[in-house]
Amino acid sequence: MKVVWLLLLCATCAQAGSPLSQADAAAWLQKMADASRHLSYEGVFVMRQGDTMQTLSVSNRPTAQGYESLLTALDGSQREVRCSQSGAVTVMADGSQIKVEKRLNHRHFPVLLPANPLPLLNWYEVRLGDTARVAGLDCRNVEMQPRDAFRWGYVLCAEKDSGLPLKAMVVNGSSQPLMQSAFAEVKLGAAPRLGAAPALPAMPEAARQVETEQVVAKNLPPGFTRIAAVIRHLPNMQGEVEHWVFSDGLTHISLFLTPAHKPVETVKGESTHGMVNLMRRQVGDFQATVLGDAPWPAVEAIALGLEPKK
Amino acid sequence: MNPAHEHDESLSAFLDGELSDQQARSMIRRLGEDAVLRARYAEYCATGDILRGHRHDIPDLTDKIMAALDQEPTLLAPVKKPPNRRPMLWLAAAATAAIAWGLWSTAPRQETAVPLAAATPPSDVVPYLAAHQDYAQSVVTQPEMNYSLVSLSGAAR
Amino acid sequence: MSDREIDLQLVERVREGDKRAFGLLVEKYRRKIIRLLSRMVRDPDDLEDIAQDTFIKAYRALPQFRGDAAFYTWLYRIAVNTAKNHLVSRGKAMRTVSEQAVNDDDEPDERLVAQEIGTPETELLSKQVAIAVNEAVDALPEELRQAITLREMEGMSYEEIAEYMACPIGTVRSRIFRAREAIASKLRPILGTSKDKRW
Repeated sequence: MKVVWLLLLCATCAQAGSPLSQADAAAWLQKMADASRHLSYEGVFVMRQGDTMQTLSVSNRPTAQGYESLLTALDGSQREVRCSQSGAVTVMADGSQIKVEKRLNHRHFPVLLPANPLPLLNWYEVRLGDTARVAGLDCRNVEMQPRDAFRWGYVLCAEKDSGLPLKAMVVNGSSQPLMQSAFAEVKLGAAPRLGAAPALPAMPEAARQVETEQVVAKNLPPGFTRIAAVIRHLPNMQGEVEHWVFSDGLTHISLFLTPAHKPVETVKGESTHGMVNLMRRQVGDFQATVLGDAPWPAVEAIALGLEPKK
Repeated sequence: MNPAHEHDESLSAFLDGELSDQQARSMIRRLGEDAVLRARYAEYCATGDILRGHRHDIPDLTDKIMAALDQEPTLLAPVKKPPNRRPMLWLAAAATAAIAWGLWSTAPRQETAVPLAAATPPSDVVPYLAAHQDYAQSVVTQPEMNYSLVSLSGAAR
Repeated sequence: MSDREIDLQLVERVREGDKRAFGLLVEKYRRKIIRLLSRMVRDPDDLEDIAQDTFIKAYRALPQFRGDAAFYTWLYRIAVNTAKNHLVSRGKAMRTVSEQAVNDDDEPDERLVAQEIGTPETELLSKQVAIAVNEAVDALPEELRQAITLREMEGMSYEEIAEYMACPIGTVRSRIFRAREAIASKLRPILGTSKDKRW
């Protein structure tokens, strides 16, 4: 993989090395963001992170209200994510029962850019890379290089005519891929209607909004804002936990807060394959765990900037 | 046919689940190395299936699939087995078996890493990782994590 | 090592980089999957594509296979989902069979006997193989036929067969082996199984 990436980079130097103008960069990002939402398509993609691979199918269809999409795991686990303008649900088979849960978010490949991607230009420099072929279609690499050490780089390979991202890579400072998703097969222009999600008598709320904050985040890296703050249950865990999410539109970092019943050791964690970083420490009466798909400086800045609310 | 196979009942017993663990592992290795043994395996599979009424077949499907697999990346996702070598447990084993403690090499501004004596790995991180990934990308991959203790020099702000 | 543990072992070997081990799983479950799919799919071309797709998807998804379900159960769901996605995306309807019929794997093939599911060549070959096996079984001495039938059709263990036939387990093992070899020798000329096999 590394060899392929370096070759890609060298070819890029020869061809399209210099950054795009703001106008061109904005146009490329907007085109990819729009295509992922407003085109009809369906396909199967493979997601690789470290040694693991997953295969999923995805379909997307524009509707009067916006769009609806369906993501299905193809590993026999019978889990689906259905998204539409009115919200998103996870549908899971649990033995002979079907469980439907409201989701907090509905971001998935290939809909990875926000609907308005222009603010990303403040934090990432956009360059055109090489042409490539993914799932039998011609596409162009659009490289988003971070302007600072608080985020990873991204490369999206946009289908030549429509701009639909056919491949997405998260890359580190040495241009090594940390995670990649790519279509193995995709068909543009037709996607089935989603059938109605199985009806349930009453859908339990996934989470409720945080009303009284006990902790303040004083040191967010440039471009990051808090985009979610909820109190929720987690699977296989007792009790509730407070879950915040910070994002710059592309990079996401989560904070989990639980009451600390005994002193909390300060722990750093990093994933073996480099994408995820984590820091846990005690903040007032709470155990705070900050983790995300970002380089260590971002996780550290957020974690060390947490204070109990006066 | 390889004469050594003529009286070798072990492939037949293997298919019936009647070999010991060690013999079965050895048979799997032999099947990987011996194309004629694999051919016998295929014949035995056909026999059983047809006796059970699976008459219809696409005979060269296996060849086509194996040819297609030549284009697929080789999987390298070995299972992390718990020490007692039961069949693999997925999430539970990943949470505990995957934690490796060690010194951390980069020198950040305020912290110093300490080698760990005995410490409990953070057991609640697996659901946090899952919840984060589900939020950020709707797919959970359970990355393997390495942890180290940190002591903050100066008071934590 | 039980049948289920064998499947887990094979999966583990594939995950350690041994693609050939996947071929053993394909060979083992191929006809079962084909029969499952033939209940859902009308067009023989679709059937072959979907069958191939099913196994490729299973290969890619192996890192996600948890040993808590049987491998075939997991593979079965992938086959059903693959068939549904394939047919829906091409605007085709599934064959109208009840969900129960799809799930009822032990039903004999009589219903499908009249239906061609492959090309004339593969149909002919399948037919010849089936005839050869059945003729070979009919030609077996009584005690070999009984042993192989109890094993393959009743699913009895060697110990159970030994009790039923009132003979030592070693004799059961030997009879089943000799039955298989007798049948295989009739299959060999038809299947042309030799060192030329690709995998």
